[in-house]
Amino acid sequence: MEDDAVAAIPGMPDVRFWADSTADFVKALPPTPGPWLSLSSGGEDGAFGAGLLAGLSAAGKRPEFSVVTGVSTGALLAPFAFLGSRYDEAMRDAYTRITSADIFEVGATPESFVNTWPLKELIAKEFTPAMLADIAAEHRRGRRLFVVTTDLDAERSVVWNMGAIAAHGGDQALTLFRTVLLASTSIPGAFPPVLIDVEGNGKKFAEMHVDGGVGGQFFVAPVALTAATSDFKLPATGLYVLINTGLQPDFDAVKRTTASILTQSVGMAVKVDTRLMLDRAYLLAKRSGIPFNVASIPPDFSAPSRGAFDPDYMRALFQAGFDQGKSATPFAATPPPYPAAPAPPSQHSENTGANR
Amino acid sequence: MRRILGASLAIAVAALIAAASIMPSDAAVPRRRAPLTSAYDGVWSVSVVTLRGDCDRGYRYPLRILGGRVVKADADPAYAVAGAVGRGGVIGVTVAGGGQSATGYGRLSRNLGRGVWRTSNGRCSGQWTAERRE
Repeated sequence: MEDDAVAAIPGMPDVRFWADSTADFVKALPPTPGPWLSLSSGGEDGAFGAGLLAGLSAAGKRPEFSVVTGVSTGALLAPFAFLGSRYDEAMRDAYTRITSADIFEVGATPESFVNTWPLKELIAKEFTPAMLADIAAEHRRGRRLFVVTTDLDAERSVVWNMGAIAAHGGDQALTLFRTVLLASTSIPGAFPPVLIDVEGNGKKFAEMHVDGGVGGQFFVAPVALTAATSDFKLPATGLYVLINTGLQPDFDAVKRTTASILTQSVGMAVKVDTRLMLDRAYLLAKRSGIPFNVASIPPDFSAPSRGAFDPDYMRALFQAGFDQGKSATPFAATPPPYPAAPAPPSQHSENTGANR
Repeated sequence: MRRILGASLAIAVAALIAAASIMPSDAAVPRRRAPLTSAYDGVWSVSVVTLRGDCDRGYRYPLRILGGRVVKADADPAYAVAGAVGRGGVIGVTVAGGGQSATGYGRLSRNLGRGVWRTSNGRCSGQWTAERRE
């Protein structure tokens, strides 16, 4: 346990910190304040965030974010968001021209329901040495790109300073960069965990990392600093939170299968977690005296989806995000209102309880 | 109408459900008696794309070819596979699960393959590509 607490990447001791370490977080921040962008989890619904960023570019009002953070699909989106509009084409392709065959192969492994070697290959294709060099250059300018994974052994979130990794350069840095992205998207149980070689107290071992969303659906700052009881002020000129999911309850008659019950339960828990985190982020921005901006998938978006990572669905979602990004009001200044409880049925239904 | 939820876990699990729903219980080995070949033996990954019908848009499955016969490469009980490879890489495979089945035909080369497929009830059809993994 002591070894794990101080473990670092051999040869790259400065590229990560525990997400609950306020001192390390403050130390990693940019030298000058600017707008911050937090990108949430959301799987294929990351197409919404990609579209919104592209729409902001098209409207000529996309800020140059001084800090970009990403969790899960937000981690895959974050390098594109960080590098700006010159990568918009690649970002659009990444979120509109894939199918589930590019993400996973059906068939359980000892650690997961499916195998993600296709996603590993996709990440290697998308995140090139040239992109790494561009990220390193922005890091040297003082901008910061953070990606979050979950160290499952430690039950703690880890923030990876992706710009610092890129600045190291070389094959080891490129491999680590891609490995962190894969880890941040590796939903435990569904996707295999990602083992990362580290060294602590002179001992070499591998940490087990999984989806950053396990520790929170997006990342702004260590929880101790975002807490309602904290007086911490964000050293930013504005906070933008891009939620790659809808926040309203989405009725779907649940089949009486383990997978179906898990799917609906996790989906609901993610929405609840996201809502609570948004409230915290809003209060932090208010306390810091900076504008709060949030965008999420509009409640009226209703394109059909034929299975996971349906490119038609993702294109429709990208377009919805693009239209919103290009509109006069791409962001709301407060978290979306909680939906009202549905009206009670007018007459008693005999078909109560489980399942239809 | 179905919306895939944002949670990645939800997506992956939903994918499994969807996969199982177009597959089967009684896979049938193609009845052709052409000589089999071991030239393509190994583990292959097959990407299936739906071009017609309302089946899921795409999936990827691992398959193993052993002595010219096509079998599953994993232990997932949700689906069954049967098929054979003949001379020149001609291949026929039936995948079954969830009370339905789909049959694909095509041709393998040394490390790649492609062909077409359709469900037994004619509801969906499309193309497949394959790459040798081992």
